Amino acid sequence: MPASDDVKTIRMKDVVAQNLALRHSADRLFDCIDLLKNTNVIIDFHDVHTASRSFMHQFLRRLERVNNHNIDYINMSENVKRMLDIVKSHKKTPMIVNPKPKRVIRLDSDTSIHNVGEGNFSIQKMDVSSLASLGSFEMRSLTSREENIFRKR
Amino acid sequence: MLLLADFLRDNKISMKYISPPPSIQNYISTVMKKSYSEGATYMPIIDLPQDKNQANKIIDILQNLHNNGKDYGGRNAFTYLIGELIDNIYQHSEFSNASVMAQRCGKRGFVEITIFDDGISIPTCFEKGGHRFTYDCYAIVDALHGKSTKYDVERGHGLRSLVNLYIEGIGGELLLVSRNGAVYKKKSEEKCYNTEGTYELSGTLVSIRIQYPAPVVDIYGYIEG
Repeated sequence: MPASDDVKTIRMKDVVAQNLALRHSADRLFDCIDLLKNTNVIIDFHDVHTASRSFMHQFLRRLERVNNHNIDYINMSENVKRMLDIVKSHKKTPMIVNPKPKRVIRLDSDTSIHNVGEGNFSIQKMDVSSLASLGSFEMRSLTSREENIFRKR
Repeated sequence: MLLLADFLRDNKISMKYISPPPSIQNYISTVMKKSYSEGATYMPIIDLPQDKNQANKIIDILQNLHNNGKDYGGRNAFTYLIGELIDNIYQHSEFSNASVMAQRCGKRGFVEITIFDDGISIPTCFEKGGHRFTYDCYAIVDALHGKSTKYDVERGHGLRSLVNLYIEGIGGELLLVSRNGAVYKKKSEEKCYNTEGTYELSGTLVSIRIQYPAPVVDIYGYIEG
């Protein structure tokens, strides 16, 4: 913590936004703080309504790296504080690597690919009637919504 | 609609086309003009700026257009939704064009919020990070389950929490299409599509359908630490 009498208050609402959503916004905030020499900083969250997890994660990450300033924050709303607490209490959850869904529906033919084990797939010919029984969102009978989102190659 | 708008933006001048019926033509031109009148069932297409510094303005515009998310699960949920989706685009997609819109279907009681970018797609993003998948939809499933293409174990939770919030919390449906894969997801159901050889999307489209109006939810129970 630097010995400095200079204190600068940064109003998040004015410098960033009332709704804190983007990682980039956190980066930009701390890039500005880094430019301040021998100055302690108060980050004022007055009138800030919400913060996304991504913003808060980046905010805390950059806050940890600061070593030239004493940074304090004030006026955090309950919403923002709750997000801060969630991200601070981060538990490393196991990463799902290449989860293999049981079934992949192919759109170019009446086939459905089943995963029968790691690295071992079987391709099964299925007719329309057997697919229809599996649900309303099935291959071979695309809804207009599905048709709309695919561009014909 | 977003994909059509994207297509028209690039090809309208150079191609010949048969005009659609007047009502549809009217709808397309109105939505593409980005105008909005109170009580309309659609929200105009809003383009994301290339300049990240301008992105917060877009979030504010979306908040205003959607009455601060009052009917989208509440302000916190709506901000979380658009914030995480837009942040993902800036973080990963390397887009040239990206846009967002919403369409309400009052009679059927739902609204769809859709965001599209013409960037490098989720499978390509993973491939650039050295991850390869048998099918593109596996890359999408991984992204939805919290795997990040960035080398940081603490990342990737934003999208997973978003899915948790809007599917488990609000009971919505999600359709995510990227390159040759698509995943449809709702409560207790996940379907993967391989579109290789038939369709290819140059970019990523995320569409979330929720009941309208959706009740306000306490989002913090759905966000992972």
